[in-house]
Amino acid sequence: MISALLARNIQPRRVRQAACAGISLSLLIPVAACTVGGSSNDTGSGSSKGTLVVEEWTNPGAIDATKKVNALFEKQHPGVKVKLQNAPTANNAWQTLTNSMLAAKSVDVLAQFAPTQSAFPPAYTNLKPSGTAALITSNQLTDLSTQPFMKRYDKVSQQNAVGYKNGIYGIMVAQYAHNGGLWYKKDLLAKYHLSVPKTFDEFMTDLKTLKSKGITPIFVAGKDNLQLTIWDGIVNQMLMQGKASSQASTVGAARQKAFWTGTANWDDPLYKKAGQEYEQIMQYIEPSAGGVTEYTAPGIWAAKSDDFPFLVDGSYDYASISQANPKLNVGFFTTPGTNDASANRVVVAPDLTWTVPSWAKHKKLALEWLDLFSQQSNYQDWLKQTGSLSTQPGVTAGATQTWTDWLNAHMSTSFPDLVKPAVPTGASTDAGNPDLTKAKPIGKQSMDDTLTKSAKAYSKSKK
Amino acid sequence: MATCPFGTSRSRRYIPWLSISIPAAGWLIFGLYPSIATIFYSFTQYSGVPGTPLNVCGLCNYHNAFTKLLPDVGQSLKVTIIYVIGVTIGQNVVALLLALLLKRRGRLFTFYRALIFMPQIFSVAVVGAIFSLLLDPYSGPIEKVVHSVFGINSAFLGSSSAALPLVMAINVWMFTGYSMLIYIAGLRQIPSEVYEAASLDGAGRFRAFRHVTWPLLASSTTVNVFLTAMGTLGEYALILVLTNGNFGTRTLGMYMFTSAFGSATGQLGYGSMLAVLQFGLTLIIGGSLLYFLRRREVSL
Repeated sequence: MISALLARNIQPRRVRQAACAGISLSLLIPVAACTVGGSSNDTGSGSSKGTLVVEEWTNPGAIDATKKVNALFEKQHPGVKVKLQNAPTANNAWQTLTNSMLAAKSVDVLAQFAPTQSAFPPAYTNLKPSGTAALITSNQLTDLSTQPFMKRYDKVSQQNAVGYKNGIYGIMVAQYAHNGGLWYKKDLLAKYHLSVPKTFDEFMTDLKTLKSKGITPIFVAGKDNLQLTIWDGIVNQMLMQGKASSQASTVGAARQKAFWTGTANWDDPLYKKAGQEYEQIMQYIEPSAGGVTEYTAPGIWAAKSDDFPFLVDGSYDYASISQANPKLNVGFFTTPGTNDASANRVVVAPDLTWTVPSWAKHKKLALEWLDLFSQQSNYQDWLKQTGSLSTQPGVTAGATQTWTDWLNAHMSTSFPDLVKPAVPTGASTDAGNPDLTKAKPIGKQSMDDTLTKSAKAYSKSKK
Repeated sequence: MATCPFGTSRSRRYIPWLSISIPAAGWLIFGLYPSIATIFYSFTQYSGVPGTPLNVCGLCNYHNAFTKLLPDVGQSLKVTIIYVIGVTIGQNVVALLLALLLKRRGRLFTFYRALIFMPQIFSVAVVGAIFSLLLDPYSGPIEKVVHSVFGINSAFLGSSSAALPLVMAINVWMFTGYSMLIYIAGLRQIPSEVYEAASLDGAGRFRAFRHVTWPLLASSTTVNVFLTAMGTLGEYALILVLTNGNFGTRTLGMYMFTSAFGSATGQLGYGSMLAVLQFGLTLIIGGSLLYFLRRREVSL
């Protein structure tokens, strides 16, 4: 444009003015675009038209299920578009996307990992909450406790997952039997006339038998420290022994306080006993565990149908196992951490939780979307696609999920993962949990030494 | 009389200012502002989640780092120093050897130089994937070799004794090409007459390297040592993809990353404080290196 003006021999002052106008315009366009981008669809929180923005992390099953709900929502709401944003959790990509969308206030339905009560440090610790818990305590998320669709979900689980004071700030729609969870090859166990163990001693007998037959019993992604879930499972079961599932939050809070006040620590007898059991189990893991990542573990494990009867769970979807070996007949159970079969209960870990920012531009649509998602047929489809455990009482994925037979029989006595001891940001891994990458057989320390170091690290971190 | 290279008319005098204004604006927005913000955040207990309170707490993060969390900061500092020294020495030795081998002109040499430089342009995610696959104990080619030769498995990235040296070696592999090119440029600056004179004085290859090449490469060495040390001081991305900071590989950069962003208890405030400490460390090490390397150049 400037060269064209010069060609017509226009006064330099005019050229400067034109150039300035051009530059100003070019600078303004992106700014204006940002504004327009934000407001073109901004039809107010009460509007029934516009673009509803949904964000979640990349998980093929979850994305497919969400897309189906989105298509249905668009069909039921003419004039409404649903835009799905996603990024993988690896290398912090999803967290970065989330933060940019929160900063731009450009999301209406936001998936979060359920913070659980561990994320809300008690007042006596003087610690500040992080992540989702920080959003909740600073009133950035909408309290959904009074929404009609919440009646479909189990209130206690929701309060544990995403409750704060008297509110519930999201819907936890996926949970996993995570800590202590083991996938197993049904045919391989049957070949050696073994059944799912009910007690710790039975489990050890199974492991010994399998090893004596030349089988390497346990496969674990040791590079990503998934052996920690075995430890956590045992500890959870021991702490909850003889207690009702509904007492989980009380037990967890009491442990947290005991650690903080110095009346409990990682070198207490209970943890030493758990450590001994952990050590015994870990004798049966595959020798290369330290080099196996959580991303490759399910595929390698599934492909080898004549070895590794057990796989330590890492919130794996059934889909990722069946993709690697569709013919594999698998099941899932929880590591028995005690010799009291009734105490060896499933420990559930809350997972994907839908939240609605309090400033969402299309809050009404967001709530309607959650209502549609929560409807039985849609939620059932979600469960099938993701392989997660239901958080709606009475709703299951259906008969197609053969791997959940043990879980279906044991879920009624399950309890949520106990609150972890509070540690300040920056404290070493040892403080919050024994660092099992340093413990045998992945590392070189004995479990006793690992627990002693953890106890010292914890005491030091809260001084 | 000084004249404006763009001309003397008033309109043309603005051109230089206009030219620098865009990169300057970029630096102010993406360089200076985040740096100042990091210093400010280091005095807070800010979670880093947009919209949440800053929780200004003065020197609380610094106090924690130098009291109750000192063992953790100290351990990361120790790993960082080992990492910086190991990579700086390793990268420069390998790069110099390669430069001496590949300094000659010719298509084959150009091809090899390009090959060695290539890892530099890979993203760390690609490098992480390559080495994870190579070292995979179930399908990696390295497993077969080490198992048949030494009877061990290739889970080196999951070993507390092998992970740090291995990550350092991968870092050297990734960036050696860059240092090699700087050394080659330095080698090509050395006049052939100097070597001829040394040869007449009876100097062999080793003596010629010691008394001619090495002293005359002083400026290239300064640049390479300084850039390598500064680059590795803040390293976290490569460590993140290879070991996630486990198995004794948590450098200060990695500790900063996990404290600020990497876990459920992440606090940008504490992470920012670590970034400020790292900046201080960079100033001390960078300043010392420049001082000694410059003095060395003068003395040579």
